[in-house]
Amino acid sequence: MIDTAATVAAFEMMTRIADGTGTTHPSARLDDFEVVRTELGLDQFESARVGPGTAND
Amino acid sequence: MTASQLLEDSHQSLDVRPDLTDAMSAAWEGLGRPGAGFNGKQRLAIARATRAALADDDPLPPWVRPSTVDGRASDPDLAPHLADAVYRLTLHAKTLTEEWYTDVLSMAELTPQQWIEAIEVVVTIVSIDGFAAAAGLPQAALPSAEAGEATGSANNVPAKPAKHHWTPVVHLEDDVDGQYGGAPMVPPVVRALSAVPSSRESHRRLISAMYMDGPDMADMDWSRGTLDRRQIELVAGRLSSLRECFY
Repeated sequence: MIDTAATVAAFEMMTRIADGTGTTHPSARLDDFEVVRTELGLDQFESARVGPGTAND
Repeated sequence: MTASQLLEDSHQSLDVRPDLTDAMSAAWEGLGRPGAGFNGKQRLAIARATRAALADDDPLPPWVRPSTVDGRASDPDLAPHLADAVYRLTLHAKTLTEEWYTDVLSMAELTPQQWIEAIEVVVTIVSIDGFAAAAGLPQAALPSAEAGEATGSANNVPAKPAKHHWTPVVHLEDDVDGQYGGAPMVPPVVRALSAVPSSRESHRRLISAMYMDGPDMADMDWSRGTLDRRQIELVAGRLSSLRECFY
């Protein structure tokens, strides 16, 4: 239970960091998991954003 | 007894891993210390606003700013526009847009680094309170504010506009402080708070204890404690899905 609670806590944090800073994946990475994105409906999420190019800031 | 000691005592009842308690305790004490862009009182005001949002049993929709509703944003240590932004980040993070971010900086008269520090305070609260709620532990009392002004420690950090964030980040080639550990590639979310090293370090320590270290992410057989990697990712994916966090 403690390890599950810690993982929950981590992603309460990570989701808000990603959404609060507008973090995106590079578009090449998005291409890599296009099938999974489509099957899980991730592109329908309100926060869906596509990253520009493959550059590593 | 300090607030972090009370947090540590509550963890003893459940035999929480020491590194997990240590990381949370350090982040908790840091809430009341002067940060790079806010003093201790201001950081605690952000923390209180986050808790108030989480406890709101009749949440406002994303398009209503709490400062426009009587009694919703009245903390004298927190500017109304920042209080509104903290509420939105806490309860409606999936709805944020780059236009909203730009407006917040303008209306609340914030630097990008101050917004990053506000995010650090918000996520410290949501993660540590979230852990307590999930583990059935009592919510810890906030620490006291320490005297002193904001340190300005982010002023000379070589952060630049980013391709994968609205906020500026330290690019790999500019990482003179070694916060990326010399890695050839660093995921965008790991770089998200890098313009404020104190915020980035607090986050790094928490995420390492709650989830895993960056180098471990490539190992799909990595495990710690009672969950194996696949179980950890199942919990992480479910939470992210409930939050509709695309990243």
